[in-house]
Amino acid sequence: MKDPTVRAVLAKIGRYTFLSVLLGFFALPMLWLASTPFNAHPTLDVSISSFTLHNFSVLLKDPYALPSLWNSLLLAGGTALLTVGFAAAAAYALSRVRIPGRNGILYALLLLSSIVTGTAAMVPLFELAFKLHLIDSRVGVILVFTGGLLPAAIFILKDFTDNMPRSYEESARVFGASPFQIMRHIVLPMIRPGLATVTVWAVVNVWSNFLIPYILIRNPDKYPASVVLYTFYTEGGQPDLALISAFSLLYSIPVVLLYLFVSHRYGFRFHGGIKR
Amino acid sequence: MARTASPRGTDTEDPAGLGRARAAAISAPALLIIAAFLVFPALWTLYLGTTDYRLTGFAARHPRGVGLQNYTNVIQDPDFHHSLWLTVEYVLFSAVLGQALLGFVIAWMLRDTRGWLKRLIEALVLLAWILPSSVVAFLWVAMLDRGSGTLNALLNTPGTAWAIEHPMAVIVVFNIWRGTAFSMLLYSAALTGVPPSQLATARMFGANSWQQLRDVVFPHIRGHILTNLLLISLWTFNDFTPYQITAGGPDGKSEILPVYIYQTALFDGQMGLGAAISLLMLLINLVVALVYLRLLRERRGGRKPERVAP
Amino acid sequence: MTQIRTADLTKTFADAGGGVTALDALTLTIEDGEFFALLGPSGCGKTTLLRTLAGLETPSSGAVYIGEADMTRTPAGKRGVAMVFQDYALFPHMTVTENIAYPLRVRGVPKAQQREAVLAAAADLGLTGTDTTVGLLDRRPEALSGGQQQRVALARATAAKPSVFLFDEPLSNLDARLRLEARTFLKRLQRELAVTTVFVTHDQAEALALADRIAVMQSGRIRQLGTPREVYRRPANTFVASFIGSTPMNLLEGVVRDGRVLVADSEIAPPDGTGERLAERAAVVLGARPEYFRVSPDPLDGAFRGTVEVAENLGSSLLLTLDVSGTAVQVVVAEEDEPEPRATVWALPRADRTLLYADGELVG
Repeated sequence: MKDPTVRAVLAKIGRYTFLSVLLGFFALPMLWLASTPFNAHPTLDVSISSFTLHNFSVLLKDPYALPSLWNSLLLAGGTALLTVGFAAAAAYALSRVRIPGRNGILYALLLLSSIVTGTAAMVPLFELAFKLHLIDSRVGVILVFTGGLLPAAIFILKDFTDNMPRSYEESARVFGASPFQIMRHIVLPMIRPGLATVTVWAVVNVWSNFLIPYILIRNPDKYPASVVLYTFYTEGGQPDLALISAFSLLYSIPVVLLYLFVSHRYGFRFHGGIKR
Repeated sequence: MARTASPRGTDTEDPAGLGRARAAAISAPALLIIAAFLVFPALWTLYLGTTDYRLTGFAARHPRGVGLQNYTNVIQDPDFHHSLWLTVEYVLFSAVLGQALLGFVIAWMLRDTRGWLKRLIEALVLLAWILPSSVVAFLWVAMLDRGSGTLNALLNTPGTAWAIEHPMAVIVVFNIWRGTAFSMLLYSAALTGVPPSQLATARMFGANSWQQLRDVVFPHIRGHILTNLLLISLWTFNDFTPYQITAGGPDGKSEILPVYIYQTALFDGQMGLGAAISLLMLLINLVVALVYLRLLRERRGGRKPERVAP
Repeated sequence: MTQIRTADLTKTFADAGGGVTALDALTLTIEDGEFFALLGPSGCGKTTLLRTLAGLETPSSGAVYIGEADMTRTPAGKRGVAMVFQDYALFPHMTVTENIAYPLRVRGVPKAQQREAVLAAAADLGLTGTDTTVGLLDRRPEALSGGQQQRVALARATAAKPSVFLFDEPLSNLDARLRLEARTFLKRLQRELAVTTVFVTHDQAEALALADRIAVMQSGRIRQLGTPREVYRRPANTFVASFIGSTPMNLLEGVVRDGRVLVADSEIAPPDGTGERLAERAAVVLGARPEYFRVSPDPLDGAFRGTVEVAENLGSSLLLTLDVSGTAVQVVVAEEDEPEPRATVWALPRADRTLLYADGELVG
């Protein structure tokens, strides 16, 4: 039997040691992102031998860097809009009108979505886009992303609508609201945290995806940031660390801001009711 | 009583008076997009799995049906066995043991904490999760670099090429770093649902931390644990990001299945074969999903698992 | 003039085992301006009936008339009814003002008029004009107390200017203290508005206190329809007798002998004027409320003789459980008449309040 105060102190030391190691583990890889963009002689190590913003001014002059962020924004925004809008409508309908086997269908679609985002479906996707004249079209990329993200989005949102007490809709209905008024006035505002979560999730997915735009987009003017990041090479064929680090930072900031905004405003939640 | 005792019939199912026609109409756009851009390419992939389709050459234009040839080839291929085994290790160590355990430990340790330390830890863990994957891959490549990587500087092990000497360990640790956030979020939410009165009761009877976890917390969050394990297992199983760090190498020592498919289908150009492996992967996903759903259902006394969200 | 009428109203829910009958050929008339209670245990069909009146359930057969019109197939929003739900269903993302204005917003009433109607309804419901209600109209429902939430729900219902109010368990979400206050308030409000009002409750005291008339329901049927006084004094059957009353009525099995009822080794006089109608040796149930006994430490003629088993303090009175030859009989005595534990007492049921049931139905 140890002295209880000694034990308490040991427990406290153990706790803070663990938390420090944890902090180190998660922070370590990010140090490079925080330091290198401002380093006049960027290398793979973490140091600022001489502080500079020169890397960013080089980046601003690059013909593809900033437009690619705009392109990413268009793709992510378009996909998020379609995904959230269509998924919310479908989730609500599936949640409120009994369709035999609806859960089975949803699970099947979820599993299929893992194929389509995989590499093997790239050729069918390419051929499909080709036949529909959607090669080199942002709409094509958005539709392909939306198709892949919708099942999980419906799944997440259905969890929110399933957990919404029915009396709200019934109450509005007795006051004379039409089904569409009920959706607009009651259902959508009430599942806002879910809509926000799905938006962030869709944007983050599209923002970082490399393969789909790489295959479907030909014109470098339309390349999103994820593709452009792989085009920064020096004339000697070496990765241009100055551009890569500075661009990585710029490229990361929007998703971080979006996340911060949504989590502050709505609370970032993956559950309306995984709570049982 | 009202809601609970009123028999569940067709009307209470549809509180807004939506009706089947309108329900079908508003779900149509989602279903059409899913059908065109998800189900159709997926089925096409399944079809390609029965052909000798190649990216280039004669078979690119005129693929021949080869029946189950691709499947028998894959199943007998030692490279496939090797890759499958690596994937199982990858999922087991990085997702089931790594992310889930670390996510729970963080959620548990920080459950009663407030203030900057909690916010800082949560922010970093979440940051690792939401940064774009190409950026994250660069960060790790830089950190693990043989010459000037931070890790070698920190551990005083100059010249160690981590990604070459320990490729599996690297991608396992990487995936823990990358994905712990989801488990942490989910378990934090779950732990708020454990009634404090039950924990207090257990403490009053002298239960230590482990006994409290075993007897009070785990029974309460069992559903969350299973849902979490299901999702992170599936995600990790299909994760392609390790390719950006080790490229499956060296000598296929970290060639997990998604990378193996990539090498076969796009690098070697054997699309038919790649598609066949995809189907096998899908079947494995299906089995994993069914096992978890089965466990979830048992807990609910045979009721349908209506509420599982990613 | 808003009378509500149902004719042969039947509702069956599809179920694995064939079907559950929630309403069984129910015919009922609720008069204009009446405060009407649907009372019964869980699953008796009372909520289904209310929801059918609202249009939230479609009957399997039969008809619903509201006013002169057949409303059986009229959609929920077009019946001129307003419903207050058990959980109030106040929209959490709207302020109190927006909640109260919602019925008008749906109808496309201009904003200025909405504002006016909200203020009027809020004033009627006591949501303005006191220290505790400052700024209340701009708050969200979550920032209100339970009692305030209920008033907002009522205000929203009155703002709709309905010809019928439907309340689903209106008081069940309030704590005990608040409930009495809200009950008085609700009754006064209904009197002032004089709008036909139907409410559902499982609490017999609530139904007795509020309603002009009560329909006691069981298994989709009405077992008794009457004023609170009728339902309390002369329950039409043993189901109603056991359901109504805050201390349950004694229902004692016995047989008829020589024009008297033999119960628990005691001979009790039957209710006035029934003695000669009863067949010899017929099996009957004697009903006597605990409140309607005369209890004495000295022998009384035609009384139960028992020993005091349990004494429960009800405040101004005591509820005694007597052991009468192995049968439990409950009686209420005034606080000053508390007997010693295990004392022997005589309990005489009041002849004019004693009831007799044969085959479950009231015979006298």
